[in-house]
Formats: sequence, C-alpha cells, structure tokens
Amino acid sequence: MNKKGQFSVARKSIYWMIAVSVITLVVLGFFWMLASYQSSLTAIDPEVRAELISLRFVNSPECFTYVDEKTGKALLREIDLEKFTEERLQNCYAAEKENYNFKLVLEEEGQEITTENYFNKDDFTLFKKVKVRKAGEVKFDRMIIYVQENLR
Amino acid sequence: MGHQSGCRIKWKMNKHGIGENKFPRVFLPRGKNGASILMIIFEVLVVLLIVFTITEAAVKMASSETVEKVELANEIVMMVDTLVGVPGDAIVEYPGNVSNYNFLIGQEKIVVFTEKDDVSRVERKLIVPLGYSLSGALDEKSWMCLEKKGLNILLRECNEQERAI
Repeated sequence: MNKKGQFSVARKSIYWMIAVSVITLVVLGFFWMLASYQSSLTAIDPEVRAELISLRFVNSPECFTYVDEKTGKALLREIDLEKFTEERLQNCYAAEKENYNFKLVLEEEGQEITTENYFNKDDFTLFKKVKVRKAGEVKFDRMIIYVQENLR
Repeated sequence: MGHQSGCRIKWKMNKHGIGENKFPRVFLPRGKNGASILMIIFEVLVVLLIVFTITEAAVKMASSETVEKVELANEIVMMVDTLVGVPGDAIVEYPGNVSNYNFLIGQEKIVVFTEKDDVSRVERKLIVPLGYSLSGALDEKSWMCLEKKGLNILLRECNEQERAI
C-alpha cells in the first residue's frame, strides 16, 4: 500500500470512530426519549397513589383502626392509640427507599411515627380527620400524613 | 484507466467459444475504486442494520400493548391498595376488557404479560400488611375481579352474577 492508500485507510478509521460515537449517542438519546414518553403516558398522580396507600392507616384493623370488642367490627377512621407504634407501621406498610414513605402525626395527641426509610424529605402532605381512642375515651383529632416519594 | 473497477463477471471460454464452467468466475473489485464501492456497500449495510434495529426496538417499546400492560399493572396495584384500606370483604371488578393479557399475582408482585411476548412482561411490587395473602392468575379472560375475603386477596375471573351488578 502506498502513502496515499495508507492515508485513505487512516482517514476512514477516524471517520468511523467519530461516526460510531455519534450513532451511539443518537441511539441512546432516542431510547431515552422513548422511555420518557412512555413513562409520561403511564404516569400516575403521586397524591392519588399516596391517598390510596394511606387509606389503610385509618381504615384497616391490621394497621391502627380500632376494633369493637363486642361486635368485632372495625370502626372507620377511629385510631386505637395502643396500636399507633412504629413496629405496627412496619407491619402495615413495609416500604423500601424506592417506595412512598410516610410520617404519620396525630396533631392533638402529639404522637408521630415514621416508616423505616423516611428521611424527612417531604414531597407533599395529606390530612385526614380521625377519632383517637385512648384508654376508652374517644377524641377528635387530625392525622397529618407527610409523604416522601421514592428516593432513587 | 488501467485499474479494474467495480465487480466483473467473466466466462472462461474454450476454443470453440463455448463456456467451460457451469458457473461464472466472479472477480472481486480491486484497486482504489473497488475498495470505495466495498466501503459504500458496507456503510449502507451498517446504516440499514442500525435503522432496522432501532425501528424494531422503538415499535416494541412504544407499542400500545406495552403501555397498556404498564397501565394495567399500575391500576391493579392501586386496586390492591384500595382493598387493603377497606375493612371487611369486598370485590372490585376491573372496568375494562382484559382478554389480551395474562395476569399473575403473588405475595409481593403483580405480573402482566402476553402469551406471545413473555419477554416484555411488566411487574409491579405490592406492599400489603403482614398477614395478608395474595394469589390468583388470569389467562386471557375478558373480565377481571379482585376479591378480598378476610386477609386473602384473590385475582380471578368475574362470574356472571358479579358482571350483572
């Protein structure tokens, strides 16, 4: 191969190196755009999602809801203060970092509990009117639910 | 103009002018022009391959089927969250025909997939209180129901009575 041929091969190699880098970037960008478009199509309002999850905090006897001993029925939105512990919250909603995490506060009672991966990075807050049963006595209260979206 | 350029096909002839070989002898392009043609063919092939691969992947990714699978999985997760937040027993019917999809629900996740394309299955994590048990599967049935009985949540096909309500 003469000098001209060598130059031509070298020039082609450089061209291909640049072309491959550009094509790779374009392909990656294209897939990133597609993925973003897809997730925008299937996105769910975080407040709706958090609202649905937090239903269990006020209505589920497996979480904090008081169960009438005589009838065995769960009384909606009535919180049994004896159940309102962090251990119970972990059993009720075992969230990881990539899930929604919560801090639950009973405003009047002044008690608060958090899920295991809650790091005080609140994204929004939900409010629920509840009754709190403490030693047989029932008081009106408000549950403030601080919501931390996924920490990825 | 002494170079052989391009691809040439040459028949070998005997003295009577009749072709000796059954198949023609193919001469690959040589020289500067020949190398250029080979390079162009190679480049065109690479470009076609890239375009084909990207189009194939893009069609698969952006197809309505994938989006529907993601939406179905998300909505089932929300249905389970709602059922967990309901004291007592309840049945929820999914408001739509799901006959194109298969569903599998386990203790920790819901899986939505199709028979023909198991690779792009969609999975979503489920978080339920301790003591709950989730089970059930649905294979290309039209109407899907989620039933909560005590601490059990079952995914199954809706029966006629439930459909009538």
